[in-house]
Amino acid sequence: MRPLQLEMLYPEIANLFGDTQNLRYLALCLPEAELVRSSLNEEPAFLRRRPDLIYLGPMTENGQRLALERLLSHRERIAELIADGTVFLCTGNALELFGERIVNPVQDYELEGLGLFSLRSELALFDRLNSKVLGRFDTGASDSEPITLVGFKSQFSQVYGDNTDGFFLRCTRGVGLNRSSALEGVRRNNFFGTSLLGPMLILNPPFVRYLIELLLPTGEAPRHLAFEQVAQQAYEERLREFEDPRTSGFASPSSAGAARG
Amino acid sequence: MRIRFMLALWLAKACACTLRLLKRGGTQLPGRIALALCPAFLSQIGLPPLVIAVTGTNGKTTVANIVVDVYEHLGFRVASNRQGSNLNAGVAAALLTDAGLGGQARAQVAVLEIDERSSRLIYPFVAVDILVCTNLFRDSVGRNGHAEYIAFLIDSALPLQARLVLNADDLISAQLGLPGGAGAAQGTGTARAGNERRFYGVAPLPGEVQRTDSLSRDIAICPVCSTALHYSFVRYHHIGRAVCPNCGFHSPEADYLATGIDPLAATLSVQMPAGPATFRLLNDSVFNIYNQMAALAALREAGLDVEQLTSAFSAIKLTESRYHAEECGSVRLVMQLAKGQNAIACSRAFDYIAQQPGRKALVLNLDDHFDAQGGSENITWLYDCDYEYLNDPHIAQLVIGGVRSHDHYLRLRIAGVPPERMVRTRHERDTADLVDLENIDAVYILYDVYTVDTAKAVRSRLQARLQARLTERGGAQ
Repeated sequence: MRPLQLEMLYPEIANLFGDTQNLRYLALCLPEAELVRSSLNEEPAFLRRRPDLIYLGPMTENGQRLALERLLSHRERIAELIADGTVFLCTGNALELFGERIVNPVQDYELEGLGLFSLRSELALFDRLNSKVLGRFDTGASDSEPITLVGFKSQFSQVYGDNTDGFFLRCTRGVGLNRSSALEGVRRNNFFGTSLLGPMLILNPPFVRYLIELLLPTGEAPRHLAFEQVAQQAYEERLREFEDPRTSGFASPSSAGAARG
Repeated sequence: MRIRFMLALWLAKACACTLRLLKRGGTQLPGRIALALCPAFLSQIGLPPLVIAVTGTNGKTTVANIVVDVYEHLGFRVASNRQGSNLNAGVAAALLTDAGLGGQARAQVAVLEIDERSSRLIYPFVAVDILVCTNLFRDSVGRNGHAEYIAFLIDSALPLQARLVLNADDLISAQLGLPGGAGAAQGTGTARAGNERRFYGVAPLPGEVQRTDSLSRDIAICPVCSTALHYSFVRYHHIGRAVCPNCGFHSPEADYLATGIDPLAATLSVQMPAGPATFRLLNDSVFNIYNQMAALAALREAGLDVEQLTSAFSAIKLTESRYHAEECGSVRLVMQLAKGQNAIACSRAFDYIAQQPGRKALVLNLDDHFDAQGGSENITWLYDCDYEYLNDPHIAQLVIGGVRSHDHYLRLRIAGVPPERMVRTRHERDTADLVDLENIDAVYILYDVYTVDTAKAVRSRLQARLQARLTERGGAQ
């Protein structure tokens, strides 16, 4: 049986906010996995084979332009992989590349996205949104409870579009796609796109367990996570803090968005 | 308009006087009052004949302090925001405090530390003659976004008359002030003319080990053609000498180059446009050599001669609140600032300490109390920071303090630090009692910018423990 293959796209530009450590942590949890780094000026591994997981992290605005220049010619292959159930994890503003358009009025440009999701991103370079996020991820299994995730978002962009049929998190605190939404990110099959950034996997051991279960062949015994006890302790502590109504720093969705979400 | 300005000036000066009488100087309140009453205050207040601004991610406070100290040593009257904030209100407070009742400047030179994000609120209104940018790195995620964004903020606000003093070894800030503006390299620039630019740098030092393993490198590809840059020398992160193998884009040459240091003699050799010179070395850490070089280049560009610089550098020292070392018997006790939420500043501090000789214990009190005011600090920066440098057999113990101690502990475990080398406590002041003083040569207390008082309390307790140990051993003999 071939080892698991985890592909990190464009690590030389998609590496902000400590996000690349998500894959490092996953690799620590799955020591047999092969970590492939596909750089900007080479052909991505996913063109030649079907990786088990494809990861794209947050980047600068210019990085979005460079990544899109490369990815647009692979649009059909990416759509095929998503339809096929390949696990994608996109964090920070990487998700925006998969939408229809990215608009940046301050720097006066518009980028055509991959168009795989009906999303439009608008950048406001002088109005950065910072928020903690507490939300629930529905595993889709009838016999399991939703997983509660904690995380941070910090972004210039507001993403617009209807994600009611496929969202990543339902926020109980903090905002989703934009300031009017309580539904965070997108999900289609095993494509998980979220604007949460930083070490979101390390912060959320229950979600890592879910992800690993998804990656491993059916029937394989569950794995222990790397440094599981201390990671779980840190998660539970943060969860307590985020659930504490005295903890601030959560942007609030407007009433219209809350009703929609 | 003038009446509004005068009213703002007098009320703000009255506020500044009152605060001084109450011994509460150093706030930006007078500046906030002035700007609230007269939004155009900064464009109307009188400026000294020379205005030097210092900005950048790391080192700007140190560089601004050095420049102020040099001028004051030479007998100049200086207006500065050293005791206040580096935002527009802090700049207004510094200038109005110096100004006479008519708003005219009394100082001969203004030295202004400027927060990078305040560029648009300051540079269009304050005619800066010399603008130093120390470096641009990734910084606090919420406050700064990313280094390219900060470069855009500064570049799009740059005053054209300002002569820029830039770090030749930092390819991000080295692109400031190019003709065409922030997007020039990507072909999306404007018709803007460029600034006059001077560069300083630090040549590879004898025996210097390249840090090619830094977690982050904020510029890894050529800004012109996106080809992977070839670094012929990597000092740390993206600081070094780079060239694009495809289009030839490369790091600029330094006009002021540190060519060598002698730590024992405390000398710094510099190649300047006018020829070589030697100055007293203020500190032998490489980031402080950069700070001294930035100050030196700015001062020379401002017209000071080598004799004046030699005299001043011989007399001044770095501000103690950022670094303080003392000997307690056989143990060196060091307080070192390592700004929380700033992955690069902490990485540099970790690297510096790891490279110091002897067996060390470290106290890590790095919680950012400002960010934690919301009840739970954003800890994403831990994973941009090189905790791996602390996985060193000569670092015998890591004592982790603060409510985020479990997050730091997990990060250190991922970095490979064995658990038996670490202890943790939620209470920062308790860290002093957890340090194992046996068989170590030095204790380093790393603290955040908002926790200086806690760090001093930890130092006092460690001083007392070390003193008690000396007394005990003296008695035993």
